[in-house]
Amino acid sequence: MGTLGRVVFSLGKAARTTGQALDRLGSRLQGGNTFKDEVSKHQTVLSIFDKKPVIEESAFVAPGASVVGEVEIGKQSSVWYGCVLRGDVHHIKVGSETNIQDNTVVHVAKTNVSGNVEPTVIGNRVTIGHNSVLHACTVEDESFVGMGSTILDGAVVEKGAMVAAGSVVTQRTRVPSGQIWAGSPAKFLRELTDEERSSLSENAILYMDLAEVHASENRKTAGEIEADKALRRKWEIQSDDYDSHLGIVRSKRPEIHFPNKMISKGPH
Amino acid sequence: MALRSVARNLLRQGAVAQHLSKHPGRKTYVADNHHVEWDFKGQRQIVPVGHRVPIVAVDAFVAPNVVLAGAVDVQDRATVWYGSVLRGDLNRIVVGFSSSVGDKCVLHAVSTAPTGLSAETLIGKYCTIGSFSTLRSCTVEDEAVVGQRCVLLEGSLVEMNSMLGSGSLLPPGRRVPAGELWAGNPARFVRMLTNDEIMSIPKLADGLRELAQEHAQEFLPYGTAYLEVEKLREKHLLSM
Repeated sequence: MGTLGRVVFSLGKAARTTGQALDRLGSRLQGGNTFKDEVSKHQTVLSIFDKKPVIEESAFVAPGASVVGEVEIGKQSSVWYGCVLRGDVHHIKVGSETNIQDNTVVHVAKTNVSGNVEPTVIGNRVTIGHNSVLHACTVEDESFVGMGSTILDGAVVEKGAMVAAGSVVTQRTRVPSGQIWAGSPAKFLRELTDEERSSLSENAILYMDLAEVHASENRKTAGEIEADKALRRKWEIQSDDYDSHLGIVRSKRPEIHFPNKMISKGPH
Repeated sequence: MALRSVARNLLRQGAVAQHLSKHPGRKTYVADNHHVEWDFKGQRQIVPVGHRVPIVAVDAFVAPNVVLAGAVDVQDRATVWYGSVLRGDLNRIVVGFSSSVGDKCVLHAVSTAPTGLSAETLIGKYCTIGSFSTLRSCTVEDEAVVGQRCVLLEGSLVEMNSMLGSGSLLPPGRRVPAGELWAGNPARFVRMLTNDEIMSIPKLADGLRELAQEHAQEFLPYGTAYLEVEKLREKHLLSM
């Protein structure tokens, strides 16, 4: 750093100190009602006493989600934004290739009416829709829990069964394999068609793809985010048409790599 | 602080020992350091997904703990309340002029609709979406109200000036015609809306908008959390 640089640096420091002083003055003028920004205290993965979550490396846990206590998450599973998996009084087990979509709450029971202590067990390749509530229940492999549904204590969703969106599966209900249950309280609606059966596993694969993209995006550091922004600005300015007209070959924007190719390129 | 960290380490070692005794087959306890337990930045509000980048109008209010991912378009004067997740990673989500999306809502879109209709999640002007609702690839036209805890499935349509009662479920492809009140799981026709009720829908949206303005005033254009981060960095020599 040259002398000029040093001068500019110290000027900047002076300006920032003044800025901070102004900020403090402003806060004081506003009285005790000002909210002071703090470093985020949200813990994505939190152990309670000696219960520590065990998460496979290939799983995606959104930074905004909370995984608390005795939780086990299998390979390539995804826990999306705003989810809460709270295994404080008992354990939660999430299998592999399962997705638990946004704002879902999974909890366990310590004392319920029958005095049972029950864990929540979620199998492999399970799809759990947004805003669901799962409480001390068992959801077996390849099943589907629709958006906004609630599954209560001791209920079992058997292998390949489906709980329709917005339904409430009451205590100790068994949703048999290959059936779709709906309503509040949930009742048998019909058998699943073959098409729906195959769509279940497709959905799981799609979510594995999506999770990978989101994981890489959320893993980025502040520097990488800024670099991305700069690149986007650059791509906005230069269009392919204009470039080819001038006969220039510029660096192309990289395509996202989806290992399972379940996602098509779309608008926007 | 030192005492706390010592205690914590002891607890962790205890946990390791317990884990090993529980799973005798496993030779070593693999600490999962690959998942960040705590991130000083918290959750990013705007998460671009590939070429899909969220757009938020200057006038809009988006609560600080909302997650906007992918192709989300929050238009002028729109409000997105606390804890909502708008995830347009497969298709576009539009929150129209002066509309509000309540707390803890989830808006998502599927990539393609089997019906051939648009699979985008579109919310028109002066709409009110109640808290805890879940919307997926549906269309809510101008001046409509969706109650709390509603679930709107693929391809459902809430037409202009209509209302959906709280806790109702709109199955795939169901249409709520203009000027009607529907409710239930699955949603059924309840009654026609009166003229007064229809007139009050934009007022409801405007009221929420005004409330949001008050909230928006609490937040400065740039946070000052970076000062705290700088302090932490100086204090603990953290690599951040």
